[in-house]
Amino acid sequence: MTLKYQEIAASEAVQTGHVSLETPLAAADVVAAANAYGWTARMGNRAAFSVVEVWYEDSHLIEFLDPENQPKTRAFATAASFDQMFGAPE
Amino acid sequence: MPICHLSFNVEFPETVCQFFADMMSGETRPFFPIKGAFVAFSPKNDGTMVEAYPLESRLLPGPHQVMFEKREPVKDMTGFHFCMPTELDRDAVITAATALEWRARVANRGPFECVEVWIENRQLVEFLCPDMQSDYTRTMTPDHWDDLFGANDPAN
Repeated sequence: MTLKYQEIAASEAVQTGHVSLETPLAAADVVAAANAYGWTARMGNRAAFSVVEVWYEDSHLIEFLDPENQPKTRAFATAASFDQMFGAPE
Repeated sequence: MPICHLSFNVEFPETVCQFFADMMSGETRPFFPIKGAFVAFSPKNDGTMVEAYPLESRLLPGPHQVMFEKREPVKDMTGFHFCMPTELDRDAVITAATALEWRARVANRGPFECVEVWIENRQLVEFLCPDMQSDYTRTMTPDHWDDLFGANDPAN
């Protein structure tokens, strides 16, 4: 046996992380699609780039990167970029 | 690259991120928005990041955008997992995880194999070593899924 699944009582306190994904869709289309499910969706300003925050089932976060923001995010999300902004580790 | 970054909660974020940096041959840094959080970067500079937050950190849909909040630490098992490639071979992955006293083993998923690593013996990550990656990319498609399990049938 390598893996087993077990159901436990649902808990609002258990949040298991978030994921950031690239999408070929425009931001407005992502928002419209999420809204069609009744979920909160909106642009989120991350300073160096923007994301579309989709709160699926209004409890878990997915950040969608539209084509415009994909190169900005790739440029930001590197160790060298962090060092420029926040200082290199000692 | 479909997935850019992800986050999850752990007891020892720096240790966990160093492990992921080792798996990617990358580097770690403190993750500035959350005290005690760390991030592991891919050396490819392609935006791939693995973020590890302390157990008490939560992401909440604030009034205008995401906000961080501290809540009671939670160490439950979760329904969250992810799968990522590594250039290390299976023995090296298992050795690195076992050195941290985490459960690690080769697992057969049928269409592909992976190395199950249970981060802090709680959070599952499936690593695809070089000899496992072609089976995964060849079989994890909608068409192959249908071949394996049957085409989508609303009656099922």
